[in-house]
Amino acid sequence: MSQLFIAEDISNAIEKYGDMVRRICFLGLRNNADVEDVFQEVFLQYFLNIDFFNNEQHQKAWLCRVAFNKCKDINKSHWRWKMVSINNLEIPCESAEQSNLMTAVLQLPAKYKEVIYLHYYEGWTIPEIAEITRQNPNTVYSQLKRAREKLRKGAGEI
Amino acid sequence: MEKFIKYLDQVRADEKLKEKTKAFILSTHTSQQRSATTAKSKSGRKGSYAVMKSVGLVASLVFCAVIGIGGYTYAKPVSYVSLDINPSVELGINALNRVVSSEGLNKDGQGLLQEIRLKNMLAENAVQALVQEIANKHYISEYGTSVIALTAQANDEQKAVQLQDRTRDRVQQVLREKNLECVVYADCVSLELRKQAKEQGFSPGKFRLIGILQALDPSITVEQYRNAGVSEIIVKAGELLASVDNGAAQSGEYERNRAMITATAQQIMNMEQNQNQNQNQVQNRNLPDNQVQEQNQIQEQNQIQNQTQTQAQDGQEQGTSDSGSQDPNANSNGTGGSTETGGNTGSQNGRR
Repeated sequence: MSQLFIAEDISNAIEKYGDMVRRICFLGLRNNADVEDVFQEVFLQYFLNIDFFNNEQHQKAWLCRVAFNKCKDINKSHWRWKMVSINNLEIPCESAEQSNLMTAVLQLPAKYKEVIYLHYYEGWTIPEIAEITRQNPNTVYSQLKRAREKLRKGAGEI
Repeated sequence: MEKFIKYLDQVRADEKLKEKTKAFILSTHTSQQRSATTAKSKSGRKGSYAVMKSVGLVASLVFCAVIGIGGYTYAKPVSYVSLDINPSVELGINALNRVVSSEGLNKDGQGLLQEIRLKNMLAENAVQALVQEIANKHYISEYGTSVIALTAQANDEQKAVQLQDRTRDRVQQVLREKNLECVVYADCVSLELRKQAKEQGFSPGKFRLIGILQALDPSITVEQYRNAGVSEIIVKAGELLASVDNGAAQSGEYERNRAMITATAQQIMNMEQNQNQNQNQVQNRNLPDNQVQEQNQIQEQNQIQNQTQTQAQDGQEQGTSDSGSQDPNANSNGTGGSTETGGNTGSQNGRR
């Protein structure tokens, strides 16, 4: 691969999936330095495995999975887990309800956040999510259910 | 959920982040090209994590092993010194010549150990401190105890002898400083004998002396001397030696201690005489100042006597090292490990 081709490929991928990865980072991380780390790591992994993808769907699912896992890796650090508190949201909310909802989402455990994001934002069906996260579809169902219950408890309506 | 989607829509990767990431990946790519193929460095990256993990694991294992082995060698006593005065005390000494355990072998000894800390001291210093404490508590003068039996125990004969010599020097030093008159009977035994003694509930030094008594007079039982003082045993041994000493049965295990015992028994008897004299004088005069002076004079006399006796002993020890023979007069205080087995059979023969 020539240098130029690679540069183009990477910038295409970043343009295409950058926002998505950034959103996952937003959900998973509470620290700008970490966001930057994970963002770069995810695309580095993408670049290193560039020959491995079958189609676009596969690519996207793979990136989602890698991004969530990187976030989990970072949060695994006990130090971070203890040190980092939930800051204010980086983007101001339109209403109090939205603010409540976002806070509730961000306070969910990582696995629930993942399902909520994949299902509601990316619009994947539950069998698809099960495939991405390599879980039993029934597990995903119950995770989604529990996540919704928690959100209802935390923010009222969803 | 629309609010959620709406909100997330606003979250976007800014251009700065994108540019940075591009630059980062390209720089990684070029550096990878420089170093190796993509696949290789990919596995290298993954590998480096695994390597780091395993290196950490190995390092921690090594650390644990070092701490464990080091701690074990430090904490494990390899040799022992036991002191039998009235308080009997045994010190466990590790390979670095430090006291790692201390045990009182009778009530007085246990009480004594509760008052002083000996752990981690050098063996000689610990013995010195012990004897000082014992002297301060007037065990030596008041209770009429006139013998300090010092027994070094180690697997290695040479080590035991070294330990014995070093500690004996310190004991004598303390006695000189405190101006006390006391017979120091130093001996060394093997760890096996120590084990036997422990099983029967004796201090090793005493057990050995009783063993010697038994060698001299087979009718003596261990139990007879369970509560006897060391000095008593030595005097008895000295008497027995004197009675047996007819030239015929003069080899055997006890033989190695023969000269020492005879000398010690003699010293003890001298001292007892002196003590009796002292007591008489005290009774006669009831004058403390004079008494002290008298005592001092007598102690000086005793010292002179002891010195001459020690010199005689030294002469005998030299005789052993030179000739290594089984001549009764040329035996020392139990240092000749090589002759032990021969000595044993010899003693049995002698008795028959």
